[in-house]
Amino acid sequence: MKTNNQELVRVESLTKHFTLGGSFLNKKQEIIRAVENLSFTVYKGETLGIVGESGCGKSTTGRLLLRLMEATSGSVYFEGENVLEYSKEQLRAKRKDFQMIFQDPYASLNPRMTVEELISEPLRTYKVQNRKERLLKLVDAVGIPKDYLTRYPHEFSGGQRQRIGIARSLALNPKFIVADEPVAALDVSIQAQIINLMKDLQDEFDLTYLFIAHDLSVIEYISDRIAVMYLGGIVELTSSERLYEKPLHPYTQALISAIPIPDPTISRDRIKLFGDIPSPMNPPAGCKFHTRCPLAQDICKQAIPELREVEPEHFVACHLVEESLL
Amino acid sequence: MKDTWKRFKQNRFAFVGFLFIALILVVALFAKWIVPYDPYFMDSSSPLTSPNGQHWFGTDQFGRDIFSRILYGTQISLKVGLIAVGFSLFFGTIIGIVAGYFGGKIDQVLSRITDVLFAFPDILLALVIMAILGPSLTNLMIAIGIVYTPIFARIARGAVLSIRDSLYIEAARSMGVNSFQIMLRHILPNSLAPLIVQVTLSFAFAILAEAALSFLGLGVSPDTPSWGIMLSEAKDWMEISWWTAIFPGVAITLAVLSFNIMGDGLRDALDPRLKNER
Repeated sequence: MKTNNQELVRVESLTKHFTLGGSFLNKKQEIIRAVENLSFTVYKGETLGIVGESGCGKSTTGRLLLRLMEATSGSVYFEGENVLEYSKEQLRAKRKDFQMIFQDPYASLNPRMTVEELISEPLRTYKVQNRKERLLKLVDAVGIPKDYLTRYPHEFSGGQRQRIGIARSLALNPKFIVADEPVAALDVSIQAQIINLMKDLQDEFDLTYLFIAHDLSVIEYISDRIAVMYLGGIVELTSSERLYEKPLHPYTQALISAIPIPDPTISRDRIKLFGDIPSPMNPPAGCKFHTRCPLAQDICKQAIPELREVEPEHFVACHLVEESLL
Repeated sequence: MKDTWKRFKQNRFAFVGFLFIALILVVALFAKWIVPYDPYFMDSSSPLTSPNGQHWFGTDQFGRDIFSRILYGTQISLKVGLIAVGFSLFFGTIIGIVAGYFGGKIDQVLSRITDVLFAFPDILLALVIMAILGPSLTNLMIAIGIVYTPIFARIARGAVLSIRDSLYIEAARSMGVNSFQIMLRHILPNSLAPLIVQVTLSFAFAILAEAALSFLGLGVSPDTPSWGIMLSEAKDWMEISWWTAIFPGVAITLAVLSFNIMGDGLRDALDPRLKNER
């Protein structure tokens, strides 16, 4: 592990509720609990993976951290300062330290800007000196030939576009990057290239990643530690080796048993989950997973399990975890 | 851009409109050297001459050559069109982008103001504004400009709403780009296509409005060679000399038609999807 336990980002009880309805004609208000009471720490130089089904709040978490969305409550400490309390000006000045890589490289690049304009935009915004030099260094780092600088995004493939997006997010020498499913929109053959590129850049530019994905193989490959999310909360958080060797939460166990093994002769017991993920508008009481959990008992329906450190550096939110440890 | 031009050229009808507009532009620029007679010169020996070899379109009640006056009229029409449409494009786009981008109360206030302006019939509103400002060419252009501002505001707002939540806008925000830069560098270039189309269509309306207001005596001074003024003066004589009314009328019709069909063609060329849906 690259971790030296120096904390870069600390999230405390982060919560985001979206309100639906409540207009003049539709008085009934509904609250979507996208992220609820989320706490975790990201250490300097590591990659923290966040994995979960669609709608579990993982992308929302990324956006809340960068304040692209305003949180309902909670705090996000970046190098000790609470980002959520920054004024507009402070936030703008600090933005260069934390950047984002977006999921869809087709939609995240302005179609009417050339590669040069796209990558230079953050440099111009922060009035960086020697922009041309920096620009050339960036395109070189992500493997875009410099003859392509005058081209427009539609002239590139998905993988190349994501390289441009990565170059742009690195332009300001950020310390922390939230990568929101950066490879989900790409072909599998290209995914590996982009992930390896991100790993190389992490060493070269001293980056810390929050890597959001729904693909378990991708996240295992890049992450040092992994947080598994379910319905707006973390159910398990530990190092990636440990998570894949010895998952403790029944949800994680089910997820891991669903990873295909590229060898037809190996058979294994799959833990099948039944039913759909419940609506975040009306989440189940107690443990949110109890409606689908194969092990659920009465206590699960009543009390919300805390995220506890059951083994060193292994956090699990489950009432029954002690039983599975035995 | 190349594709747009290619598609535009394939549309014969629109292309003819474009050529005619180009012709009007050339005539307006070189009118001084093209006209066979001085458009202001009154030849008292030959009032109301019917079209002939010397006066192709005949002469008016003061013996002025109608052909020359129509050629000069292109200058007034284009000037009014350019400045009035420029006015409404400029202010309408700013209002629309600000309203669409910020939303909320700002949007409510700006949109309601444009709605109020929309509620009046075009010419009536222009008449009221002209009555307040007083008749002159400058005021005429301002009045037409104000009348068409809400159209541009509404189109710009709609375009902004469709791209405001795009990922690349969020990406720009995540890089600390301020709202003004986002509107100028991201939103404006991406909402330009429908605005360009509206420019050509409004040009036609502006020419028509200038003619109508001049006809009503609220536009340029009566001796100016404007198509509207010519029509207005011709109304007293057209029973005995049809050419005084027909030629300026045809000029207005052709100019307006050209801008309209070019606008339609441009819309199809800029957004090929729209055409397929029809």
